[in-house]
Amino acid sequence: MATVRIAKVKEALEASVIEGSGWLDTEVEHIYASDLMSDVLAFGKPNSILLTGLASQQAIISAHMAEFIGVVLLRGKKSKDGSLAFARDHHLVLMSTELDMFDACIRLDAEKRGIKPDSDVSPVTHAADEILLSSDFHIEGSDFARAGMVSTEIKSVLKKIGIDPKIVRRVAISTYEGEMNVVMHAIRAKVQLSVTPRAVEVVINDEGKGIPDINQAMQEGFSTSTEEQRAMGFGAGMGLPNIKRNADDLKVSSMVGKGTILVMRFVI
Amino acid sequence: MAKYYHAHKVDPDKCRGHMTCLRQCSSQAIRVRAGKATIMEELCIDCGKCLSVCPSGAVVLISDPIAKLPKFKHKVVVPSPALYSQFDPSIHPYIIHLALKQLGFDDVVDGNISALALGNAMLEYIKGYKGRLPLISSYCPSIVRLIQVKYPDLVELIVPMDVPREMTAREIRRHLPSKLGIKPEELGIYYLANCPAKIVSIRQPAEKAKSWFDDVISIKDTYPILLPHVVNVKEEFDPSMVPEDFSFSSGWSSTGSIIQSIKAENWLAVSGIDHVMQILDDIENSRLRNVVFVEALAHMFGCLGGPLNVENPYVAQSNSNKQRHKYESHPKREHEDIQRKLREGYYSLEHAILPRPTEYFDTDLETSIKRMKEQERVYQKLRQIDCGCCGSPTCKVFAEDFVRGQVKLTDCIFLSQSQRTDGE
Repeated sequence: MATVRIAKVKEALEASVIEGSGWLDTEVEHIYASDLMSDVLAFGKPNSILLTGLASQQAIISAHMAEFIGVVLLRGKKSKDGSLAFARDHHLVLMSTELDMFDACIRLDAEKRGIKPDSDVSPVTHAADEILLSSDFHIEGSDFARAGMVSTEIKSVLKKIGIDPKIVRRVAISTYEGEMNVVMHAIRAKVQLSVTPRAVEVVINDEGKGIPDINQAMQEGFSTSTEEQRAMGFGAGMGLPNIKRNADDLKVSSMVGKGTILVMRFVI
Repeated sequence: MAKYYHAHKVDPDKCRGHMTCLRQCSSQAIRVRAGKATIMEELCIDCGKCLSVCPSGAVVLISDPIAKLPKFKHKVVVPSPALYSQFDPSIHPYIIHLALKQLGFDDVVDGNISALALGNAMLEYIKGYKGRLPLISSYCPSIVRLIQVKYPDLVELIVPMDVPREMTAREIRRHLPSKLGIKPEELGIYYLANCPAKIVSIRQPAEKAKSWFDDVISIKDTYPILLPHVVNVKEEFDPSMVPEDFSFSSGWSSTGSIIQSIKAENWLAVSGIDHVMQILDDIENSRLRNVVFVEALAHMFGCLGGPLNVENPYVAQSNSNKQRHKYESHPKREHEDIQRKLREGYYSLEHAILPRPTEYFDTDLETSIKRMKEQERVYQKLRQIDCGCCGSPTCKVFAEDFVRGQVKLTDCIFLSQSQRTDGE
C-alpha cells in the first residue's frame, strides 16, 4: 500500500503543527475528510489522518476511537483546550491549515499524483456536510430531577429552525434515551448537536464506567440497572435498542472505565 | 372573522402597561409595545390567564350579556359543569336550573349526561386502538390549541372524539324542534362558559365547520343577575319540587374527573398549562411509557379553575365534592348502545384536528439557522434577568423579536443605558 509521511501532508496543506511534532515521520495510509463524526467512526480506517472543520474535542476523540494517527483542522480553526491534552496523551498529531475541505482534498490529490495544483482556480463549492449549527449541552449523572432537559432543549432548537416534526420526534426520543443512560450509569456527559443541510447529529460523550460488551447492550431487555432505577420506570433495557430504532445511524464506542460515545445521526 | 379568532382582547384605553399579563402568559403570546399590551393571535391558546390577572381589567371578553342575545322562540341553555360549583352545596342543582329559567331560558339541559356515555365510549375506543400512545383528551379546547401550536407532532394523539357539550347541543338540535313543533331556526342553544377557550371553540371550532351552539355567554357576566334568582327560588324551594327524571352529575369539571367517571387504569390527569407542557414534553420524549390516556386541562383544578368563574377554585372544588356526594345520581350505562354508536361514528369529531405549528423564522433551513445564531448573539448581550421592561416576556423572546425586526436593541433598558455611557 502506498503510504505518505505526515510531514508530507503538512507540507502539502501548508499546515502548522499544534501538537505531536515528534511524530511527523509516521507513515499515513489514508486521508479521511469529514465533519460528521458518525461517518468517521463508521467508515474511517486505521492509520488515517482526519481533515475536519469540527474543532471540538469530539473530533479528536472520534479520530482516536477510529484509530487515526492525526487530525488537521481546516479553515484556520483553533483547537479547543481539551483537544490538545487529549492529542498529547494519545500520541495524535494535531495540525491546522487555512485551507477549506475542498481545497485541502485537491492539494492532497495533486500531491499523490505528483502534479502542482493551480491554486488560482479553486471552484466555489458548497459542502453538503458543512455544519450550519453546532451547540453544546451538559448532563450530570444521577440528576434525575433534570433528566430530560437536554432532550427538551435540543427539541426546541430543532423545532425553531423548522426541522420536520417527525424527525424532531425521533431525535428527541433518542436523545432522551441517551440522556437517561448518562443519568443512570455515568458521571457526566457532554452533548453536541450539529445540523448540516443533510443531517442532524447528536453526540453524547460520557465519562463513566463504559460498556464492556456493546453487542449485548444493544439487545432488547438487557439491562444493568438497579432495582431502584427500575422502580422509577427506567432501565428496562430498551435504551440503546430504542435509539437504534429511531436514529438513521447509531455508532457506539466505549472504553471500559473511561466512558462511552454515542453518535446518532438523522437524515433530513 | 380573523384567521385565529379569540374571545378576549386588550382594551387600549384601559391598559396601563402593568406587564402582569406579559409575565403570566404561558404561551408567551403577549408583548407590551408603546405602553400597551397586545396579544399575538397565532400564539394565543385562549387559556384566559391574562383576563384573570390584569390589574386594570383591560383584558376584556368579547361576549354579549344575556339581554343582548338574539330573540329565539325557544331558548335552551347548557351550563358548564363548573357553574354548579359556584354555589354553596346547600343549594340544590335544580334550584340553579329554575333560576336560569327565570332569567328567560325555556329549557336548561345538563350536559353531563352525555359525559358519562362519552367516557364509556372513549374507554371502548381506547381498548380497540392499536396506534401510538398515550392518547390525549380532546376535552379542553385550550390544550387542543396548545398542542396544535406548540406540539404539532402530538396532534395525532388527540382522541378523535367529540366533547359532551357539543354532543348535548347536537341532540337538542336534532330532536327538540320536532318535539315542540317549532322550526329549527326558532331554536336557540347557548352555552354558559367558564373559560374563553370554550367561547372560541364554539365561535371558531378547531374540529368542525360550525358549533351546534348558537352562541356563548360567560358565567362571570351571568352570575350577578342569576344570583338574586337563585336566592328567590331557594326561599320557596322544597325537595319535592324536583322532577323524577332530574339527574345531576358534576361532570368533567375538575382534574381527574374523566378518569374517575370511567374508573380506568393507567390514565394520567394533569392540569395547569405549565404542568401540562411538562407532560407533553415527556410524551414527545416518549417517556410516559405505561400511560394509555392523558387527561390534560389548562387550569389548575380543571374547569373549576376557569377564568370566567367567580368563585375561588379551592372553594369551588370543595363545593363540587359536596355536591357530588349529595346530589349525584348515576344513570344506567347502556353498553350495547355505546358499542353501536361508536361504530356508527356517533361520538367522532366531525373534522380532524390539524397542527398549527408556529413558524419561528423562515422555512429554509440555512436562513433559519442564521437567524437563530443571530438571536443567540443578541441574547448573549442581554442581562438575562427577564425584567420584561422592553415589553417582551423574556430576554430570549426579546432576542427572537429583534431578529424578526419587531424591536430595537435600545428597547432593552440595559443596552440603551450602556450605549449612553459609551457615548459620554
